[in-house]
Order: sequence, then C-alpha cells, then structure tokens
Amino acid sequence: MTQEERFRSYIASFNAQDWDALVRHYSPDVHLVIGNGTQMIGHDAIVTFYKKVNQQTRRIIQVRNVFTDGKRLVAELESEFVALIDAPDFTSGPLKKGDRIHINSFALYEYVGDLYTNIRAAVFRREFLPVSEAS
Amino acid sequence: MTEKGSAATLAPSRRGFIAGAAALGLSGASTLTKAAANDAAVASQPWFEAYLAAFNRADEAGYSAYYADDVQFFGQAAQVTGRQAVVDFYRGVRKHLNERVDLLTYVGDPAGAHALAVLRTTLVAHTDWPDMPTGPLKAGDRRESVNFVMYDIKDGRFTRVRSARFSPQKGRSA
Repeated sequence: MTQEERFRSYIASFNAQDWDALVRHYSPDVHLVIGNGTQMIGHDAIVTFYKKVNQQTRRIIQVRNVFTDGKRLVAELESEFVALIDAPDFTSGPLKKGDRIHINSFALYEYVGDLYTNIRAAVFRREFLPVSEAS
Repeated sequence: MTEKGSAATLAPSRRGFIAGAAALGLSGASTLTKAAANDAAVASQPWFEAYLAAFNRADEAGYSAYYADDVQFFGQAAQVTGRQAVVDFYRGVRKHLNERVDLLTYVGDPAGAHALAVLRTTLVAHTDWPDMPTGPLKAGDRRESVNFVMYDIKDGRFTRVRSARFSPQKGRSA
C-alpha cells in the first residue's frame, strides 16, 4: 500500500467513525494540531475529541489532493460539518441544528513507517451556512 | 513595465533566469551565482529556496519568474490575479514594511505539480500603515505569523498560491 493509499484509508476511517481503525494509523504519542489551533497528544485525546465532534455533527471529509516526498505527506481536504443538534460548545464555534460549515484545509503529516507522528493543519477557507439561510 | 514583463515570461530555470537578468540589464557574478540555484528540479526544495531568496532580497524579476502569467494569488493581505499584480502588491507593501519569509518545512510533489511550504513571515513596519489589510501597523511594529502555503505548479511556474494561517499573529508594538 502506498502512502497515498494508506492516507485515503485513514480518511475513510474518519468518515466511518471507525476509531479502532483510525488509531492504527497513529504512533502512540502522535501530536495533532487542527486548523482552529486545538492540540491533542495521543490516541485517547484524539478519539475523545472526534467522538464529541461526531455526536454534534455529521462530518464528511473529501481528499482533494495528496502527495508525499517520502518523509512527509500533504493533503488538501474539504470537510463538511452538518449540526445534528444545537451545539453551543462546538469546537469551531456555536452551531444550531442544521447549520453547516465547509472547511478547505491544508494538512501536513509526518510519519515514521506506517504511523503518523505529527499532524498539523491550517484552514484556507471556512464557510458558515446557517440553517436559517438554507434553501 | 515592458522589461519586467519580458523577464517575467521566462521560466525560473538557470537559462531563463540569466536571460531575464540580461533583459533587465543585470550582470555580474552575483546574479549568475543566484541563477545557479535554479538548476534544481521544479518543485524541489532548492528550486523553492531560490524563489524565497529572490523574494527576500526584493528581486522582482527573480521571484516573479516563478509566477505564471495568470497566477491566482490568495495571500493573507491580498487576493490578486496575474504576475504583475502580485509584484505591484508587494512593491506597495514594501513602501510600508520590510517582509522576511523563512522556510520552516517544505514538501514538494515529486510530479512537480504541487508544493506545500510552511513559512514564517516577519513584518517590520518602517512607516505607519493604518490601513494594513491584516491590521494597522505603526513604524517599528513587528508582526510574525506562520502560514501553510500551497502552490499549484504547471510548466515550472506557480499557477495558484494559497496561504492558510497556521499560527495566530504574534507581534509587538513599537
């Protein structure tokens, strides 16, 4: 499996909320910094964070582009969050049920073997679509 | 700006850079030494570092040679289209501040179609700039940020440049 294929498998685990499969891609002390600045270290921190995100929203990630130089992998991602409930404490800001957020981000993955050790992401575009404006 | 236009249409290769320097009336060993860095393969780190070096010394012909004619540029402070528009933007910026960009991490697509650079940008204002797009500056103010910049590349030139803020801006007032 190439690094690109492994990455798409990793994102598929995210979309399926398959946490056991997800964490198999991480080193034990993986360090993750997401686009809003939230930092997490280790499997439990990441799974706890995303379980809550997925309780509050339906999140689908699409891979727009991925490439690697053999040491690091870069991905351009499009994520859509749809609020399933009112979520005043949502990580990117308060949401009402039905609100949508589109995020276009660039992510950088450092890896050793088949395990991601350090992940950083930055948001290029963030679009908030309140349910009150939905057609 | 005919001279700049003719220089800027050359690809950022060694031959193109030398020809561009000639078109601008540039000569001397220092120009040729800088050009040698551009022997590097498109999207390789040396190729990109030559671009950053040209940018940091405000070498408009040097850095703009990396842009396609119709490059789409999405910076933190401006969104413009076209090589000359990018040069004009930075020329305007440099009237107010000194900008230095340092490469923290670089990943080039082996296919030469994309690159991601993690860049630390340091701005030091030399004049007051109350209308600075990312926040007013006073002379002496210093501002620093880290950005992920994605480059789409075709035929050895950037066709699209997109900057995403990673760190909040840090800085101090004069």
